Amino acid sequence: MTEFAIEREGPVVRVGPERPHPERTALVEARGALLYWDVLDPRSHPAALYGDGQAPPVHPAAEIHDLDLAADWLWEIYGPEAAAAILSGAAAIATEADSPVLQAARKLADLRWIEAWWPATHVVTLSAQAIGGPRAREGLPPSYEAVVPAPSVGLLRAEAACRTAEVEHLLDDDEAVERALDFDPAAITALESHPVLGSDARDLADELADLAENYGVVLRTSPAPARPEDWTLAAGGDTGAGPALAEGEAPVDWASVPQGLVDIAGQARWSLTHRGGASVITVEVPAAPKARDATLTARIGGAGIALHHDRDTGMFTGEAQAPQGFLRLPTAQRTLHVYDPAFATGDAGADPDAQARRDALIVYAYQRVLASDAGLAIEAAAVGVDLP
Amino acid sequence: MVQGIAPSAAVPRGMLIADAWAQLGDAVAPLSNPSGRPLARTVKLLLDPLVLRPTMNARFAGGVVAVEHVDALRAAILDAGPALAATAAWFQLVKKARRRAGITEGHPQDLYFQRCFELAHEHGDPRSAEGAARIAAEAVAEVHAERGEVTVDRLRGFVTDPERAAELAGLLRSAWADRSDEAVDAAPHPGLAAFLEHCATGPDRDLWKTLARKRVGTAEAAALDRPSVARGYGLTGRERPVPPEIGDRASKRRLPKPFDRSIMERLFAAFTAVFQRESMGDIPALVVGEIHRSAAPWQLAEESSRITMALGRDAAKGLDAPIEAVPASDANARLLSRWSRESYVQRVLRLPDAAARDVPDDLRDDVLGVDRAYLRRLWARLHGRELRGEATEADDVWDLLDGVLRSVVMDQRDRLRRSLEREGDRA
Repeated sequence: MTEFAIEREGPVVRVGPERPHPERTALVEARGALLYWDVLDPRSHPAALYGDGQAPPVHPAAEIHDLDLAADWLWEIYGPEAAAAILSGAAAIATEADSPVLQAARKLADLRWIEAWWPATHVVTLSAQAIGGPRAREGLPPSYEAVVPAPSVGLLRAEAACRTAEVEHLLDDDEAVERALDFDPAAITALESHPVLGSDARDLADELADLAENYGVVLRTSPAPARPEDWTLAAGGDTGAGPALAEGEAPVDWASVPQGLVDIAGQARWSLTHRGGASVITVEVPAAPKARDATLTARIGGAGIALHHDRDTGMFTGEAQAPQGFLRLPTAQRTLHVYDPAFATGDAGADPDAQARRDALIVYAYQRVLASDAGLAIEAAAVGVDLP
Repeated sequence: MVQGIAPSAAVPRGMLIADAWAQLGDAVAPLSNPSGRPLARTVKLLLDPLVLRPTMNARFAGGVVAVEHVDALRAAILDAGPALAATAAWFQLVKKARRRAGITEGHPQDLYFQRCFELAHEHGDPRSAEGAARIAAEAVAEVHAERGEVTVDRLRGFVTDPERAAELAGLLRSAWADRSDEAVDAAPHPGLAAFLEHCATGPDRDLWKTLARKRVGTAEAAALDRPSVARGYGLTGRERPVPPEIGDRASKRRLPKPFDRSIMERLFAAFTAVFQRESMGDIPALVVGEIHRSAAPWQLAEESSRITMALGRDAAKGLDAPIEAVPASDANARLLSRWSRESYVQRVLRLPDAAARDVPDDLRDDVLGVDRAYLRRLWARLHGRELRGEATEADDVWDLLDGVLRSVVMDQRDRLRRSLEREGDRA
């Protein structure tokens, strides 16, 4: 049972709680309203998302800015009675209504969230207690190292295109399906021959081909992706350095970097060494699983350092001469701040909730990986299929 | 029957349509989405304009339908059932013909839905019509005749023909020399704000006619010739608009701002952006028309387009600083609200901050100066409508004003996303 209070402020009608933090928001832009699910809502436990249909439906909160437009489809999301209550000025709704359209909308929101915020990491230490859920906890030591693999963006977009077509009649964007079909389907083609997931991939490919024809989209094709050995390796070259004079570490604010570059559980590390008469600051940031190439910027004690992706070590690394007086700076000013200058201004203030939120999302994602039916993209990542 | 329709005073229109549509069964599946609902374009191109006609049947308009009209609405759809089933069958045949002809350009639903509805009325159901496959193939050929690069080539051939160069240049000179520079009272006309107050909910058709009769759109254009005004609107990069070149080349990428586009670029942009060339005139008439249009107020030919530019200017006010903006009208408030939602949506989607150092300059300018990007897109839409001979009426205005901002926003998202994908290549 979903119970939501309704607030009306001017032209806006809000059903349920306020917008969650962007990092934990799974969103659908409907005609006349934003629909959002809080990814960390306890009812969003993986078993409820792609489960066997036994879990009660999880309804989104909504911020309705045009009631007249939303009237067209509110009944499909909340059921006819709750929709009538929203339209007629009620102060609260309670609903258990489920529908294929609600499920498709939720999956679409979920897929978009994964694409934006899925916290992939090579290694993270989790406590079994945090994982929760009897099935997940069974046989685990109290604390252990876990991997959250990165799903294929191509598979995510393929699934999202199909879910978009199922709810196209309630979306704000009248070209949503065409836009959703604008991606590289190489991942599906590659997965079609997989012994276990192949048949799902072939179904998905058929569905996409139908959509492409009905919407007049020519699916993109691209040359085969570069294989790891085709890449030239960045030079390592930190030989000859003395011992570190000072060092430190800090988490990377993931709102300052785009998806897929930085290992979300990794710490950015800096160290100061003497080399050939100069003080050199070296910075290393663990790259995300399957990270692409990019250049990040590290700021510390007034120095700006460009970090390049080194595929050999799986790190973004860079170094620069230390500014005068670096060692005399108070520790607080020797805080390492990493951002992508193509993504953020680097001026983001500190967010005291960031770490807890991130930890919770990593646990959530790990639960998804353990769940038996987590959607094709997550399943393929969980069994370790390497896809673009 | 879709879950019980409760006996209340009004019923959501979408629920009634879904209910009636479900009763039509598999016969209309080609016009439905995978959830079994009529496609968005089925509603927009078939049900609304050809079956329910809410502009003429006010009882079928709006988000909810009064309970006494519920049966009539359902009956209207069920009565159209056979025609819609035949339309769906024709659509399947036409798609097959399109595939056979190797055509991939254009949106099949936009291009063929209404043509298939016509075929359904002319020939009935294709399964019992003689030569249905041939008819479908002809329909496809007809829709796609006179399209493609040929037309752009002919345009380029015409404007670059040395024998015509002097004539066209002379025409352009005299069109600009004849521009009336009568001093018009530039005080904003109160009718504009009044129209914006209701255009989203119940457009005032009489007021629209009054605005046209008083040539308010033309009057509002007078200020464009003052220093920096047109530039402030984002319509030109110059201090004041100057006569365009005739031009001899154009490319889809990096078109100049509207008033800085050559005659060739203006026509080229409309040719490639919109896929309805059959409704445009022939090349010489298009070029001469464009020359005259370039010298007209707002560089648009129709009074309705000029009024819409003035309305768009006022409705977009404050988009560049939405937090401080105090809405001057309902339409203005709605656009401001869409834009302020957009910053949240962009964070949810984890798109780059446009203010970041390495975001391409033109993209940053378009995001931070969205009011100017908005007026440019609105101008291009109105220009396209004029070339296709589509009238702009009171009822069309809000769809245009809102649709243009949505389109600008979606375009910016795509560009922000692509700027990240390109990042790897630069590294």
